[in-house]
Amino acid sequence: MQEYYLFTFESTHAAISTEKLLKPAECAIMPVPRFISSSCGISVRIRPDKRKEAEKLFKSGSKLTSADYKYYHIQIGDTGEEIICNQISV
Amino acid sequence: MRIDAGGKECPIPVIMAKKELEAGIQDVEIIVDGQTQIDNLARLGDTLGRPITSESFGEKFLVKFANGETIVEGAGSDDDSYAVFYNTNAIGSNQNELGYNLAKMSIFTLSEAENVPTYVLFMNEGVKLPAGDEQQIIDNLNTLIDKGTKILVCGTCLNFYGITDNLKVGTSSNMYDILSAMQEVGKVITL
Repeated sequence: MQEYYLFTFESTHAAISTEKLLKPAECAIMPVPRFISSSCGISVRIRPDKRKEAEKLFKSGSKLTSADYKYYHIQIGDTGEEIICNQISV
Repeated sequence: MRIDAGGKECPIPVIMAKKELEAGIQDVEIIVDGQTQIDNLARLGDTLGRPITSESFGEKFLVKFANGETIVEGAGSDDDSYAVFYNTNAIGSNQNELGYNLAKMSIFTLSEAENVPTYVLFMNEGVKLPAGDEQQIIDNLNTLIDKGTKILVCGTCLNFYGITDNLKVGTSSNMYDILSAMQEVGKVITL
């Protein structure tokens, strides 16, 4: 099973600035998965073991409002067919 | 079947003949005005495995295609191998932050693909991707290597930018190997 946390954004600039902010938490940027839609195609992915660190960085450093982004917890089964995707708060 | 392409400019006679030949029609003959059209039809015939003969036909010429099976280009090709070529460190000609992030994201997407590329090739400023400080790019390229992709990085280019010692993933390579890699695969995608 694959598990990660994901930020999606309303704007590309928000995506790029968040990636910079969360870089110390070893975030990765990836295209927004097909099962989620968002205005901007860039999303920022967080490993489960870096979740706390990333959320802390985001809360203390981000100027985005809740309308600018969405945050998800994503679990994907081994076959790739079973996808659990819950929107959560940071 | 006889086609009258008299008075038709290039490339019309070629298109007319090609259509019949690719349909497998035998005894294809075509009337054309001059030598230019004959030369073009000769090339077509050679490509399709149906060589031509030509003869005078009044003031014009009659071109006859040999009978036999037509070799249709690309048909039945199941070569889905490919190489991805980065010749800048950004996708798009403007070297901005967006282009750089798109390049980074494309390498991630390739690393997750089921059909990974046979080669990922870096030249000119593209070499800054595997020789840069971006951990995500290094990790994703290593994932590709684990999945069987070969990463070739232009050594001349690394040298030019003074970053030879910074190469973190992939093989420092040369023009011969990079061009051979391009020729070997079914298609080369330049990003």
